[in-house]
This record gives sequence, structure tokens and C-alpha cells, in this order.
Amino acid sequence: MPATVTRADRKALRQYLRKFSWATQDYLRTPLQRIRADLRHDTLAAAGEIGMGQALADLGDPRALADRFADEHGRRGVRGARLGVRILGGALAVACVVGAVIGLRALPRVENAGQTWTDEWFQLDPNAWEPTYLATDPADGSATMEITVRNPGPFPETITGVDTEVSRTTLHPTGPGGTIDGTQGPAQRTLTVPAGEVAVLRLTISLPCAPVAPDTTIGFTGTDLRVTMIGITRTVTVPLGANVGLRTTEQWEPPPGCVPGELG
Amino acid sequence: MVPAQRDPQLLKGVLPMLVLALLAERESYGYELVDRLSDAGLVDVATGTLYPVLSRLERDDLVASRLVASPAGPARKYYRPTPAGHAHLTGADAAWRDLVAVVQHVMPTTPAAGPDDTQE
Repeated sequence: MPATVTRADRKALRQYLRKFSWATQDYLRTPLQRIRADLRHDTLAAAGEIGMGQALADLGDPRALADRFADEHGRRGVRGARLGVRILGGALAVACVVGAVIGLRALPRVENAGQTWTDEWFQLDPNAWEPTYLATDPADGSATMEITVRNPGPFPETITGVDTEVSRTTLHPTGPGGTIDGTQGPAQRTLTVPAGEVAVLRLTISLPCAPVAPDTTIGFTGTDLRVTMIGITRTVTVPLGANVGLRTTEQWEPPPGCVPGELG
Repeated sequence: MVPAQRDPQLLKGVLPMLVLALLAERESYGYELVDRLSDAGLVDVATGTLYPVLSRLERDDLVASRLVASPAGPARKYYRPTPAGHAHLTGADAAWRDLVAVVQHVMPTTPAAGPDDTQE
């Protein structure tokens, strides 16, 4: 007498086939989908005659059935080995992605290609242990130096100076020889520098818009730039090539209406 | 008479041939084939044993299948040997008979008990 296949029977069959698929997916050479479809069809047909419980019981343990199919169809490889290859492949892929991200984040950079002490106030300090240029009591409370920065490539970079309370940066297009050339355009806050090319950065160091006690030195060893390459932005500190300082030997009182970083 | 315990490895070796032989006699669907094998004396062959064999025979083009509508439940998948299956069956049959001849030739001369069992 034909048996009725209920919804619960179909659910039981789905669960069985899920276990079977899991047990076979790693090493069955013949496409699993076809075998699974045949198995589903034949089991439903058998369940129509003897009931789903008996039909599944006749199939036996899904893992044992998977083994029998693998015996007949051939195995692709040892499951553990394939799993190991997958884990190794996954780890390599993750490492590649992490490496690429780290590499790209480190990509935007600029190099110091030389500096000039353009302001007469800067003097080499003979008493310093390291090369140190000091501007002592500059007339308007500020002194300026130039740094030639180079984009080492491989892509164009957009460079923006990062100002502080006591420093201000402007960027100047350069002409032949890498020197400031007024015909190339005015000073800018942001400048795009082609790969391998240079720009001149003028760094003005100022006493702050606040009272400063006598014999105070404001020192720098580098200046920050915000550098964008292929959409990745990074703040890069460009070394100044020496210690640079602004020294006041007298009490400093800022002028009325003082704007931080814009003295002089 | 109590039937002798059947070696699964022996069965595994001859089952494809038996399946081909039964299908050559009359096309059948999987569960019906289990019944036919059972009627022939192979009561320990279940669908879980038969389906992988049928699947491999079909993959190797030794059997072909067709769906036949059934009044009770889904359509049945009926199998029958292909020409290659018939040829394979002929070869398997000859090889089997040859093996049986050898086995029968050897078996009567084999002592029923080991040498140790005959010593006093």
C-alpha cells in the first residue's frame, strides 16, 4: 500500500541529505549536486512505498553512505589535507590583504631633498651638540626657512601643510632646478606634486600669540604634512635636516590682534 | 539451514555484475531492484548499498535511466543496461565463470582443518 510522504518526512530527508552533503563535499569526484538530486528523488520514490522512516533507515548512516559513494566514484583527496590546503590558502589570502592595506597606507610619503635657511635670523648655534639653527629675537617674532620636498612616487601626491600655533606652511611650485619660480604660480596651501618631482615648502616659525618668558626657545626637528596618494591620506613628518629653534631673550608680548602662526 | 555469513567484500565485487544482470533481464527502479536482489537471496543489500553502485554504473555509461510516472508518489527512475553495459556484463560473466572454475578446482583439495588440528 502506498505510503504518504508528509512535510515532516521531507524535512527528515532534507536533514539527511544535508549530513550526506557535508560528509561528501570534500572528496567526491562526481558533482555532488547530481548525486544528491538522484538520492533525493529515489528516496522520495521509495518512501512512497515503504514510508520515509524505512527509506532513510535503508540508506543507513549518511557518512557511511558518503563513503560508499566515494568508494564507487573515486576520492578527490584526503579530507584533512584538503582542509589544510584551504586553511593555508585562507591564511595567505588574509596575509596578502593585510600586507596590501599596510603597504598602501605607508605609500603616501615625501622626502626632504634639501633645506635653505632663507632668513638672516637663522644662525648655526656653535654650542649645540647637534646641528642647530637658531633665530634669536627676530624682528617681527618669526623666521622662515625653505625645505625642498620630493614625491618619491609612484603616483602623484597632493601635499597640504599642517599648521600649528607657532608654525605656518606654504607650498610653492618650482621651476627648473627645483627652485621657487613665481611664473609657476603663487604660494598655495595645497599643492599636487607629480611622481619624482619636487616642491618647495616654506615653513614660518613664530612666537605664539601668548606671553613668553625671557630665554625661551621654541624648537622643531620636523614639520608635518598631510599627503594624499591614490585616495589614501597620511600625515608625514618631514625632517628639517637640523634642529631649528626660535629664541627670545626678552619677555615676549604678542601684538594686538595676533593670529596664531601668522606673525610676520 | 543457517545461511553462511556473507563477506561484504565478496558482495562488493559481484554486486555491479548482479545489478547489470538483473537490469538486462528487466529494467527496474532502485527500490524494486533491492527487492529483486532480496528475492534472489541477497537480503542484506539495502538501498544504501545499491544506490552508489547504480550511480557509478550510470556515470560510466553502463546503465541508462528514464523517469516513469508513478500513480503512487514521484516518478520512478528506471535503469537499463546500455550497449556498453551489456558488453561489460558479458565480460564480467565470463570472468566470473572463470574465477568460479578456479575456485571450485582449488577448494576440494584444501583441507578443512589446519595441520595443527590434526596433531595429537
